[in-house]
Amino acid sequence: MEYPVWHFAGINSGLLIAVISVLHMFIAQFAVGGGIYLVWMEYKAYRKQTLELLPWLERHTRFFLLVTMVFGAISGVGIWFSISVVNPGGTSLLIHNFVFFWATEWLFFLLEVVSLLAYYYTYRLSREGAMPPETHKRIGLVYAVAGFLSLVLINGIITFMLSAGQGPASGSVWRAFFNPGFLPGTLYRLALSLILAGMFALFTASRIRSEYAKRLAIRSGALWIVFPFFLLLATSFQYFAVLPPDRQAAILRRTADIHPFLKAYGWILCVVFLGGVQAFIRAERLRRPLSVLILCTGLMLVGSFEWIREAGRRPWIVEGLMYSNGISIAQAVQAQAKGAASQSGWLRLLDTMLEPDAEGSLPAHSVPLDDGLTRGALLFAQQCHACHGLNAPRIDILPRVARLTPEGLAAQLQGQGKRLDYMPPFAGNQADRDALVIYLKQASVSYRPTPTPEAQ
Amino acid sequence: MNSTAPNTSSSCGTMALTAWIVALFLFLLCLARAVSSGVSTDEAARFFHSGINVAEHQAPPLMGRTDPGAVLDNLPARGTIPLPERLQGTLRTGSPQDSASVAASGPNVAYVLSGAGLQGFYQNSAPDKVWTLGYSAPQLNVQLIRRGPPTPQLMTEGVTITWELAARSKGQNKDTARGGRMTPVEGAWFQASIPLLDLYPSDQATSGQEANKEKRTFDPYQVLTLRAVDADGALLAESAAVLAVAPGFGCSHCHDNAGTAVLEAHDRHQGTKLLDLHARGEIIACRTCHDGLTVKGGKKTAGQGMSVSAAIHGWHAPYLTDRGANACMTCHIALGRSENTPEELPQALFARDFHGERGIDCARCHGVMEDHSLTLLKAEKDAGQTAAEPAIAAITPRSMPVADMDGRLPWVQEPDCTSCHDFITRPDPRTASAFNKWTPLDEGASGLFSARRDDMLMVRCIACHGAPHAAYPAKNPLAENLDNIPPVQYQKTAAPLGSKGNCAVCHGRPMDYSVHHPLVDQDTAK
Repeated sequence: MEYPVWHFAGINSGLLIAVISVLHMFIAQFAVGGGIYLVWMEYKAYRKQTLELLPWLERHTRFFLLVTMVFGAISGVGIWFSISVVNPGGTSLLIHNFVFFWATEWLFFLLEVVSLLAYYYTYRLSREGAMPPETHKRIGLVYAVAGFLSLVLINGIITFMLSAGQGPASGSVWRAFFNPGFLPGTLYRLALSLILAGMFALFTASRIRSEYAKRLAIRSGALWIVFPFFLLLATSFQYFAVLPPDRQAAILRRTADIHPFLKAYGWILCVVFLGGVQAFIRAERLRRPLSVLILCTGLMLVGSFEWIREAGRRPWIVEGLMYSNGISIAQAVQAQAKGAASQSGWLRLLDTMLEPDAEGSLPAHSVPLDDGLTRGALLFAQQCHACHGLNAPRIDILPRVARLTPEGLAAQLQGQGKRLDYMPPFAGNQADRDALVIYLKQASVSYRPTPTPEAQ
Repeated sequence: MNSTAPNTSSSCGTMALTAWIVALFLFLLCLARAVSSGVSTDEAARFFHSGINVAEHQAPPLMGRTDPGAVLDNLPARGTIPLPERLQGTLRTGSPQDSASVAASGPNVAYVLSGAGLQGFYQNSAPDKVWTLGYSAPQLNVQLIRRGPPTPQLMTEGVTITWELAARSKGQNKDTARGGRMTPVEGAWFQASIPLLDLYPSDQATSGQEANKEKRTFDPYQVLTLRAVDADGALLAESAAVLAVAPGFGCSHCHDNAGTAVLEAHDRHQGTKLLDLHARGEIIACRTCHDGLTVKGGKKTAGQGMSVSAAIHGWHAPYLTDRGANACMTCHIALGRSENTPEELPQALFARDFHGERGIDCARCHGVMEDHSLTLLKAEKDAGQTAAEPAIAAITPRSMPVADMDGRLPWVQEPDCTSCHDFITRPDPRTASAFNKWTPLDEGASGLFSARRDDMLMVRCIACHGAPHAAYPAKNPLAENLDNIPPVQYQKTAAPLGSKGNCAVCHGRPMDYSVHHPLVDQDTAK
């Protein structure tokens, strides 16, 4: 509440992050699995003397370099930009607690960039004998290890958000990092990375001219989907099993924000496996469109998993510490007792600027500033907009507001987060609730609900 | 594979670059679309210019909604409720001299007829065209006493008692008038269920469309005329009782379009398909699933679901905290009347007996919303109902820890009058509380005030004290003494029958002491 709010018209913060992060996760995990894949395949090509694969592997490395180092890196930086404006409180919490982990991760990322560039630009030298293949493979190994360690570091922080474990209570950053979700999370993402590596291999391998090399390459890609699939399946369950009971309940709840994604995840898992098997069996006839289709299922797999993880974390940004809207438990308690302004300088500033209506017909909390900003609008931006759109995707608040009368809406804010615990409590007192109710009811004036059966 | 591809290496790179650009383009397209859709609906402008207009401004809460379960705002004007013609002359509180003469020798009648509802205020389970709680019809109990001396007698043999709900307004169709014979029980009293035919018994009622319902006058205090006749048809006694009925609960205080909104919310949170069922023409009977716990041989057994009381109070308690008795009035509706000034608003519709006058509100006996709900939920939990656990966890107890609360069964156990009224001292109205002091479970519903009898197991509590929540002297918001008909009729004063030295009402002469229950010395009154 102490940060300025960034209101992005037409899209809420959660959806913005979801779009950016799903795309980034898709590419970033390919960057991890792809590195391992490239080195493994190079070793195998030399050992089994299937040197026909090497030209394709070099081209695949170039593709890999462009996709991961350009899109992956840019979207990674994009995530930092977005989360710092969308949820500055949460970003600050993660940076402050894991600063050396982030720093280490950035070092590994630098190592990744350097080693991958070196790996690609020395490929031709090693193929033509100007560089010993062993050296080239070692460069690749450096990249693969650096990539995997990046994943380990980031995964520790991400799993901390979902299953904080004893970290916050003990004050130990190591306990926070090696939280209950750490190991299953790492293995899960490793499996997912390997699958994505296999999928991208199918994508470039589908254009290999040599039938023999194509068959070898595609079968390798297919196997990289099929074998890690079992690890993915096992770690999916293990990851779920280590979560706190309330998170498990949240993931299994049958609400529209999570249940369809859970169902989709199950179906996509099956499709991914079948896609891998199909690619292996019909390796010679695999064309580009099918490989793109398989890649799409990979994107959907990543998307549904990340959505479940994010939605299942509600109402937390970090379990047990901070709510989705960047308000800590302590702040919420204080705000309920002393008013939201006690926790937000922006609200205090607004209060000093608001003049009571001349005729006294408006309560102070609904008086607009000259530019129309009201207390309720600021409270909405601070506390609701992290998840709710205002006449915009996603989880549009207006149909929800339309279901309740002003009195009902005030009661909803009062009881929020108690029984239906996927929403955080409203951090404010009665005057704050009234201000928000007036704002939301004004905003919903133009909203027309779909007729109910009774009205029809 | 295309064998004419000149350079697979560069084509692969181009492909990757193209893929990346396409992905980026799609992403930007999504963003742009979201942004433009926002701008087209002027969302950004609305965010900063919420456009609060003094003329449009309406502070919560909104009253007087018109959908099912509406708050009542169309009531008979104050003082316009007519009483049965034959009683009109007798229903005046008398001067002190009149009262004194009644106290000395009783009224000039041979029989005393006193009736009261078992529910002081009956809430119909509307909106019953969408969902229904399926409550049975309101119950009326009557006792007929043949005056002494020598000893007053409870009469059931050779006597017929009828009730009649007369058509009131002039234009009203005579068909809406109805009545029936009451059934004698245990040789001591008579009982009847009063079917609710039309809750809007004014002249528009018979011709009005459903849509005009809100325009019709609703009378929550329908007066039943009671007549006792002997085997020969001779009239022995005539009196009246008020049947206080509300058309539903105050759901629409909070839920827009309360009927279906409640189903929709239930579907959303509990994974049910009630809206679909209703769309296929079914009226949802809540108690089909919400059957509540049962008690057999002292052992509580969980039902299929929590009782309606436990489920509804338990669900709403987190939302209606810190409101004292106002939380109760959200659903157990108080009245708003648009034609009256706020000072005249009759607020005390539900509980209108003397306890309210003395500052003893609902929460004193039932507990505040949180505690009241917790006691209902605790009984369910004790019976093994797992659904009660998350509900209990979501509620913060107010007056005592949950562990100290006694679970109670709705309608079977209620706050016990004797927890304050010990017949020795007068309760202190500043501190008296019956919360967590429920009527004994082993007595079941027969232990309730509405069913109990005096120490001789003869006279029913309600025969002398009136209906629960409307005990004499009750203050009716619409007509003076409307809730005090028997005492005013027989003793010219609105107080429990026989109180203030009025033993002669039944005994025909003053009495030295009470065998009904010990009388608190008036000198100890505070």
